[in-house]
Amino acid sequence: MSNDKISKIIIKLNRETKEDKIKWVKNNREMPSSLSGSEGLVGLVYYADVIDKTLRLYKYNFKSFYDEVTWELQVSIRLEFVERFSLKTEYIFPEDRSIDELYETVLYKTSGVERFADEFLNQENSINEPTDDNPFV
Amino acid sequence: MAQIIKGLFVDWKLEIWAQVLEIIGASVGIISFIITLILRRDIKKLRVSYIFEKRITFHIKKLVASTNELNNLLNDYNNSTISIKVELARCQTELEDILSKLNTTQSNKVKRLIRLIKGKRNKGFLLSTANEKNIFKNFFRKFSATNVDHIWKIYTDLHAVIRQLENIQQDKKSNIL
Repeated sequence: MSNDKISKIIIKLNRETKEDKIKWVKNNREMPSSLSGSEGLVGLVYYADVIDKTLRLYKYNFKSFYDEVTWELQVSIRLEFVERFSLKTEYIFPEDRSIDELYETVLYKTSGVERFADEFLNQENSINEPTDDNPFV
Repeated sequence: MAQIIKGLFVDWKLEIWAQVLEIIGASVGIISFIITLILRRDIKKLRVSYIFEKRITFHIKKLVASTNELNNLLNDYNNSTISIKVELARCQTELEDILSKLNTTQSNKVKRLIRLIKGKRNKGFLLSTANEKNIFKNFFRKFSATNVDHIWKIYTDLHAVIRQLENIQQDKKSNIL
């Protein structure tokens, strides 16, 4: 599959996530089977069902070696198809910049920041008035 | 030919020596001149590649920052139309700057994207919740105003341009090596 096509798929996933057509769910119990070697999970793992496929998205870190002793910890994001029940990896999407933005959107959507902002900003008396007991508000 | 060799090494005629050395000298001069021209061309190519490499990295960073920003703004399109316009203006300037550094075949994608941004940036922005009951008005609005689909199209094309620039950068690197 061409890189252009891959990028278009990821951008469509991003758009449909923003439009709430695709719902991602968090999972902090499963360790992705595709992590290998020095790779370590960063944050949570996210799953979504699209058509007949289950997608998994997660951030991971890995050691990038300059020579035998010098290395730097780098971070990347992986998007993959997984088998629905065993959650074993079926296909890993090639690295693409648009995956980072998909991850940002998934974080934004699953964190519930929109709902929080609406509720918090519409809350009456959210700013406390100073009282005799607590003059330093 | 035999006479020349005889004149050179047997009779030691100075006129013949002078003529031969003159021809050798002129040939060496011409060869040196050609080598200088080749070296000059290669150094110029290297210099242009070096400047391109330095500048293009900067441009790619700016465009990536724009895609990140557009991605964030698209989380709340209806309340971010002004910020989207500002970001599109930034993108357009960046792309126009890049255009001068690309050759004709490389620049087609960038030109198309600049045209698209120019065409959409200065139009009124249609909110994604806007729903006109009159089909004719709806049809007219679809063509006269910028809507969320257009912004997604620009966002997708921006990603394609970034990928193309990264490929050009890689090609130039492998040419230098």
